Amino acid sequence: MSEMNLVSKGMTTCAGCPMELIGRSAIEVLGKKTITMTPPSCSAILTGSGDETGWGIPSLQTVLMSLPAFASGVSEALKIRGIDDVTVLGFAGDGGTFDIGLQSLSGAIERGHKAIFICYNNEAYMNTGNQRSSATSLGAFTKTTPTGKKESSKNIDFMLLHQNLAYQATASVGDIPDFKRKLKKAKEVDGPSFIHVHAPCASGWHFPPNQTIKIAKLAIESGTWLLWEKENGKIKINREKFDVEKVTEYLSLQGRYSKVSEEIIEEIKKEVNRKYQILKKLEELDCL
Amino acid sequence: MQKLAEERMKKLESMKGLKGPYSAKIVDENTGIWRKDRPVINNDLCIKCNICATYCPIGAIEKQDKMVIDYDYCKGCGICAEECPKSAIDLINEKNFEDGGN
Amino acid sequence: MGDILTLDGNAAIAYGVMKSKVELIAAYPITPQTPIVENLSSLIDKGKFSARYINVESEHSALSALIGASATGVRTFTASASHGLALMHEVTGVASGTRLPIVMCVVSRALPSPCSLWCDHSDIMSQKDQGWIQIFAKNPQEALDFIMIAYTVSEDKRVLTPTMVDIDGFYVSHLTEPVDVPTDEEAGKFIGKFEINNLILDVDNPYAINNLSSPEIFTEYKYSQKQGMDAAVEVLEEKFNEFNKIFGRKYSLIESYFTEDAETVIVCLGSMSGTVLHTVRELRKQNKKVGLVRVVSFRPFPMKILSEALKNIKNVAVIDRVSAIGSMGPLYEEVLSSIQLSDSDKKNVFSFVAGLGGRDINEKTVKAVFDYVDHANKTEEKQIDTIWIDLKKE
Repeated sequence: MSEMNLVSKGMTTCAGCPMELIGRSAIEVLGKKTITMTPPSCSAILTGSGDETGWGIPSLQTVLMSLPAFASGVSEALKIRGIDDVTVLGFAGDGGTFDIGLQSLSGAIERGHKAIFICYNNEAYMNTGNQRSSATSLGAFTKTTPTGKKESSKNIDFMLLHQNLAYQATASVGDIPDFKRKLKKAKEVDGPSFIHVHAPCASGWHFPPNQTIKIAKLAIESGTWLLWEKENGKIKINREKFDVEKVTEYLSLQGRYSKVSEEIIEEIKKEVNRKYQILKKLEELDCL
Repeated sequence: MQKLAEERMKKLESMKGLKGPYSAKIVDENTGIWRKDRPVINNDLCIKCNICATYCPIGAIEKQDKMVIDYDYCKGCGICAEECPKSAIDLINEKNFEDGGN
Repeated sequence: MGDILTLDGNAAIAYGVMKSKVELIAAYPITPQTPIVENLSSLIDKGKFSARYINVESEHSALSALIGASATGVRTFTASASHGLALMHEVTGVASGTRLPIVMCVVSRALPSPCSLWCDHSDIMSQKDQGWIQIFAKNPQEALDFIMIAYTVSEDKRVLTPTMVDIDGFYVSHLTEPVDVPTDEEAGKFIGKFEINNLILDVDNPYAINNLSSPEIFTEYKYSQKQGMDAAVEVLEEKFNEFNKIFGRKYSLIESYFTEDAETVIVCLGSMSGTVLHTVRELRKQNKKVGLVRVVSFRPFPMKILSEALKNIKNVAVIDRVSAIGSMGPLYEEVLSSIQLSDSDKKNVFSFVAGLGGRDINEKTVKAVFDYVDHANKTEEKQIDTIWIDLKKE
């Protein structure tokens, strides 16, 4: 990088933070002409506190419930001012996307504003200390599911398939080049994009930070996290082969699953297969 | 001070007089002092594939004539060592270095 | 002189927005504000108004979108009432704290419960400490005029504070009167295009807006907001004068009627002031020494001016259109704060509650207020509670 970093190297994120990796990689792709928004969440650390910020681009701290509404306003105002070469980026976590932010996300997509909505999914409300979200996986420990979450995670990607996204994709910190490729596509489309990035969190999931990328890769290899994208009405599964038996290894590396029962592990494996089957069927259509 | 922070310091004067909560200074914490173990690249094994730089969450690794780690900021998370396909990065306890923390 | 059109309060607001060259509107319909958003959509669709309209999916998103847009450098507007305004509460403080010159029309409607569609001031009063300028229009002409004035005040560099223009639900919003609508040329003399003069999201000049502050700097930001609000007293008067020069309609922070020799004066906000004035005129024919002070600007509250106006007035009857449970009415408390600057010990100040949930404040109610004061004077009772003057007796 002979170019200056557009994101500070010295921020007080956790060591090994996948959210930071996603944010940094995103700005490498999107460049200087980007306006970013963060809600109160882990990504707010990048927006900074006191009189300091980590972004080298303009940023706006929103409220948790309505980042996509803020983004709608920014996107339209840029159009009014005749500015068409600036990317509007929303950088929210699973809380601000699946739960409290769901209404405004759905609204912003429905209205078709030109903006990229990245969701970094660390499967809990991490910034407030690891409380469960609807994105938390089945059986996982969080501070509000101390004996393991009883519900499967909400499938936001399938839900959003029924909205008119100009570009939609899943991605992972386990494959940064794939994430960057997808983000480039999102930048080009004239409408709303949604990129859902898996972000295994060492602090919240209880594993040593150096395992972050390995665990993200295991999620992909076991089929727990499927990589796919949707554009022009068609789904493309990026990675066909996975080994559902690797779910056991995937879970065993995470402290949040230290007490998980065999039954739950079997449930999780069933879910992996179920989701893949649905996605495979949907892949046959070209009218999505 | 990293380049981004330096560049921004030059612009601060022109932003005086703005009303409301805004932050123009770049946060520039010396997060290198968090480190327990320092990643050291063995240049004989390194093939400059850039994977360590791609996966470093804080962007502390750069490809120059060799791969260079910015130890002012490196938190010692160890992702680079774990991901290196050539096992060319060793994590060495800070106390082994003259300028090492403890 | 512009065109005289027959408009109700809602339509007048829509015209005010158009004449103010607003660029972006984001609003969610709620009774009794719906005709505002419908009128604006119609004006935009028919090409008479070149603004953009975001059909947001809730009021919280409406104001959120405007904060994003205003921070990107365009003139913005929204309108709401009751539940909708309450839903915006999380972000009304964000708008004022980030010093964005947003203008919102509040079509005052009672907050639940009980559920009501009709007018009282509980909704706008719930926002009184959120740092917005709040001015109360009493008829459709004022509704239009105050929107234009609001933008010039909010955007003034000394102020940089958003404004709520209040119109009473149904009593003003659905009241149809002849309204002088300025021509584009006339409006252009008073209010020009939006100019960026404070925080802006700009890729050539990047910084973070509204990030987390700290105890070391929070108070100073708030104090700066206070300074902007304090400056609004002077700036409102300036803009009222400028407006008068161009349009021949003079407004002021308060309006006094028959106060020179009054023994009892009613102080109130909004459309009820019309009924009070009418009743005062009738009672004056019977030589009753009564008067009215109508407050136009509730925030910033014109304490000095009001204190002056009420000097030498023995009885001050404040009518609040909110239920004031657990203490006294908000307007009453402002009046008390104002008069303690001068001669409060010689005065009797009464806190009346009336007109809740849309109950009409008619002549009978106003006369009952004056009668109550007379009676209290005779018996020398000290007032220690709110007087719910239009409460039905069992």
